[in-house]
Amino acid sequence: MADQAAIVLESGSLDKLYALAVMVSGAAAIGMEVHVFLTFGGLLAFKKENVSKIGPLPDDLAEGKEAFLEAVKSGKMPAWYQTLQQAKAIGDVHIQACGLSMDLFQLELSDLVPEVEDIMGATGFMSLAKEAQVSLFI
Amino acid sequence: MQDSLKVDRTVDARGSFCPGPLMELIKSIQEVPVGTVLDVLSSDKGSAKDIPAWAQKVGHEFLGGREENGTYHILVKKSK
Repeated sequence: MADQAAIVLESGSLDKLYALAVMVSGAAAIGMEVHVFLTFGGLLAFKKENVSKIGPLPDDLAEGKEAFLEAVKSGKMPAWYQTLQQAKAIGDVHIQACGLSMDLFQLELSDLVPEVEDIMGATGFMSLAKEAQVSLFI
Repeated sequence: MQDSLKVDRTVDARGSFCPGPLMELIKSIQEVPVGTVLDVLSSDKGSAKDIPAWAQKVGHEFLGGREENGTYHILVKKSK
């Protein structure tokens, strides 16, 4: 059985979305099975109308903010959503929406981009994460 | 690395940030037969380290790498 990675995305800030996309790509590239659990800000970033938004960036990135935005806007750094789609195309990547956040924000699966497969609770995700060799919280 | 090594396919990923070059390589390697030698052109330092690690992990042969005027050439042979 392939090694597994379990990743919780809690933040919707742009740098975290890039961190997610790049880490998922790396894991997918070496044949890992990847499970991503979207919650709070991380879930809102996956709403259809939000995946193309550029921002927000946190204060601790102030020094690198211009370089970051310039790389994004010039296309040198491919959009995080595109990188994630690419990772899904080459590997075994599964994305789940947190049931609590879905209720909280009154969202339906159809409000989210199609890469989000299903709605899952913490218990369901933890039972996946329990088997994973790598777990990350972003 | 042998200079005489025949490159069958060039993957030009210059200007692309990490993990772009590796992603380009993975796309290309799926399209070519076993035994094909691919030369990945990259301007990204991370990829120069990542691609050999990836090749070893998934079972392709890393044939060597060099840097020329800010461009990394990373040679990989599709082995399976």
